Amino acid sequence: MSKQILEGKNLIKIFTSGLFVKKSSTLAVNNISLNIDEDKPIIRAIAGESGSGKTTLARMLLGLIKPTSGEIKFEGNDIFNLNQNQKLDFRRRVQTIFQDPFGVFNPFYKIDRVLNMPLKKFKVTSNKTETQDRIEFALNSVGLRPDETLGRFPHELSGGQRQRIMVARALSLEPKVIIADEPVSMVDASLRATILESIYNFKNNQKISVLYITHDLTTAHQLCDDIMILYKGNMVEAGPIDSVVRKPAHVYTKHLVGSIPFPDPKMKWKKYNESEKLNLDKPSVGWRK
Amino acid sequence: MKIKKYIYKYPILFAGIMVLVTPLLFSAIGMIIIDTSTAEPLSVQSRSAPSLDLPFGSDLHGRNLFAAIVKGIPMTLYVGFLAGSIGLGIGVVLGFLTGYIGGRFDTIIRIVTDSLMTIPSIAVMVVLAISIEENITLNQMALVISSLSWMGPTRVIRAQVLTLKERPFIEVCRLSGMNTFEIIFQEILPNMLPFLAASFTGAVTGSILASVGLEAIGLGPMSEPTMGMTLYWAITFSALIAGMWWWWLPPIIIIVIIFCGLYLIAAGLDKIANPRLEGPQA
Amino acid sequence: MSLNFILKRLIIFIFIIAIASSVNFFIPKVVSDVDPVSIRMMEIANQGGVYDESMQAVAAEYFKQFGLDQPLWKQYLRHLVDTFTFDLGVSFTYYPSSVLGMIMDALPWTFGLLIVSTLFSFLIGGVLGALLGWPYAPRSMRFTVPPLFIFSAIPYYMLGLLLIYIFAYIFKIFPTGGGYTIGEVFNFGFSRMINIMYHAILPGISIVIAELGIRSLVTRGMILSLYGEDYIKLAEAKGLPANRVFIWYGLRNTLLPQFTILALHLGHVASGALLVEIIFGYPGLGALLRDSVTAFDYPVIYGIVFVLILGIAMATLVLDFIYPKIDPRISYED
Repeated sequence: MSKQILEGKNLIKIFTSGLFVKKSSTLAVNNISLNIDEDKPIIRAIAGESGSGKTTLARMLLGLIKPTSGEIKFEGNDIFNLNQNQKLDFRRRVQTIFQDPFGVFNPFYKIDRVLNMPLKKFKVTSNKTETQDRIEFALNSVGLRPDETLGRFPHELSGGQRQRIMVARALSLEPKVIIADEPVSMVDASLRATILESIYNFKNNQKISVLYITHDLTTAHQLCDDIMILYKGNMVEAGPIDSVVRKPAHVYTKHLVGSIPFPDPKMKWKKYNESEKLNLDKPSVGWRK
Repeated sequence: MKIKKYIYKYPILFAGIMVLVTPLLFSAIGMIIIDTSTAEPLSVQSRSAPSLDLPFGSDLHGRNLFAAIVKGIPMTLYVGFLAGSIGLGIGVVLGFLTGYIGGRFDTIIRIVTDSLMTIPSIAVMVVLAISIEENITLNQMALVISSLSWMGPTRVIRAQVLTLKERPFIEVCRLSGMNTFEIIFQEILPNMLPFLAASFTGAVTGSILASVGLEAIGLGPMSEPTMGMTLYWAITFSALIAGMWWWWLPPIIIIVIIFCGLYLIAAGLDKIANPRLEGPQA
Repeated sequence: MSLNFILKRLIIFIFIIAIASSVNFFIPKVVSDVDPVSIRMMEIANQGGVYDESMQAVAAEYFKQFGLDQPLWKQYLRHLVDTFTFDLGVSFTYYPSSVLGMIMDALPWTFGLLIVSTLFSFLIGGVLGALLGWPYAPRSMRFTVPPLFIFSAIPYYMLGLLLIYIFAYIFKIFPTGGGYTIGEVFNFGFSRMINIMYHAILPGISIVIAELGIRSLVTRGMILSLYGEDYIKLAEAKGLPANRVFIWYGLRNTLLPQFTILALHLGHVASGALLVEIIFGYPGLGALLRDSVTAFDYPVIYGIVFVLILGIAMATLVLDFIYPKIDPRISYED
């Protein structure tokens, strides 16, 4: 059994609101498990509509919020019980790309800070030249020119450039896993291809696994090896991307796939049979082969 | 000249600064021109109306009122700024900590702050001031005032921190390995500078108001000619009825000028703190 | 309004009162090592030259009442009990007048002044501010904005000084101070009341004008933001006369936020009113405070401070309970 980089077991997250008395609770993630092996880098899509729990899942895997129950392990250790060194290692090896290319930058500082800080904090490089080289290399590999991007403030750059800087940041740390939360949804269509290509290269060139969180099945299909479909916090179906998309087994997956518009003028939108009331709360079909 | 660009951009702010600086300049020039020891009683002919010798006349006890005003302007400003700074300082520490850390700590401090805010500060200040045995000094007065002026800044700063805390870049910082203090002071604080400046101005305004109030009751430094004290003497010795308008009018005018300046600065800073956000470029 | 909320609110109220009382107790003890009261008494004794019986009586009474030789916590408890039973002690300078009595004498004056001026500034400020913000108001109203701005910058009592000077000294229209003309004999209540009102006008006006400045500017801001709301447009589209739209739709909606502002500013307004009283020699709590500070009459000072805090806490409490009645959007249900 190969070593697991990241493993989540039976994760459940319930949000409650109310100060002294629990007023209302929301089941955001209901018993989801997943794992990523060391020597089998994959790009896995985590797909679902808004509110399906995918962002919550991602944040738990990143260690930003604690699961109500269940375990998350990095290289065999519980991520909420790490010593200082292990924690730094975890933070370095599990990187993220957020959705919003504007909010992720502190408007007060130049973008260099975002690239320098983690290298410094995780002690990846030991001197300025090394840092500079590494950053320039990373920027080049995402298609940015260092002389055009370094030394600028976030508002001086375009959304596509900013998002690529975040990708470069992730790359420069040589992570083992990148969790990308809807990385292209706020980027122009023209730039999406570039960024997606970078993500694709993560797996092939750098052997980095990617958890690609999205609600867009089309890009998922292009990019990913397998997919997990989330609905209302449950994993309703998962498996190799081709099987799931072409031959969906769960009612919800069928619904999701069916809503992808087909660029064929002769094909009509699927009409709902009103008598067949959609009951999407069917039990999960689990992992498929 | 870079400064010129800023002046054009923020006219209100600079107008306010000009207005505020004017009394200070007045005072500075005054100190050079005349001998400020004549601000003490029994220095000059008493009850004189303004003349060339005594531009602001003299009061009942023979103080040269011009000297008194010149000496007193920096004092009044000093108390205001000192009390404002302390109040803001406490507000910054508490506001940042409660805003960022939250939880029980936040709840407790919030209850304390809110309760204290409902108490009329002058009440507690009077008790504090009266308990100070000897004649109260400027510094002591500033301490008394600041002890009840920190609640406002705390609340307001906390609210700002709460907003900023939710921004994605804070999460990125956490994921980059920064600890709480680093995030508070290196990431959040710089974004709040104009806001803090506005809070400070408010704190100073409130402090000067409180100091003048305390002095009017008779709880100010008896031997220092601050604006409020000069007014106190004027009221106590019925300057109004005696017709000595030159005794009580200048302090009022100076105070009004100071407040106008502070208000303008606050309004100008407000514009900086809430700029029209340029949306993200596509 | 649930019982839960009422209880919670009352507990906070009592808590504040306890704090107020404790403030009076602890601060003097903490700030100076020696009990200021004893020192003061010794000073008075010295002034008199002879340590005569009345001073001994005061000393004995004091020690008995407060039991200064008792352990701290016992003193504190006693103090709290005294406070809650409104036993505020006796004055030094006017021994043996009870502090409570002196305060009760002064209170109606302050109360009257405050209530009337607050009411007026509420009304005038509210309407004035609304008019300033309403697009259809006469152009000439715009000119009142700068003076209002200046007025809001002046502390209340300085305005009072100016007013006294102009209207009482130069143009001898109003009296220079006092609650009523001293030395006059009144035949019956009505002329006395007129006399009182006559004396109250100037102080009242200074409070009103100063409050007016801020209040009208704030109301103006509110109306400006209100005007864009859809329901105003609907009212106008329905063909309602402009006045009606202004009063019933615009003005009415500013009343509630004004209330909120009032509640928040009570402390500030009260302090300002006190200072105004000092200027005008108006026989309310302000003058009493000033006199007792000058004379170092500690029991009176503490008494006033306590009553102040109590008053404002009560007013806030009442406002908190009235709120849901006025604003149907708020309910304190759990």
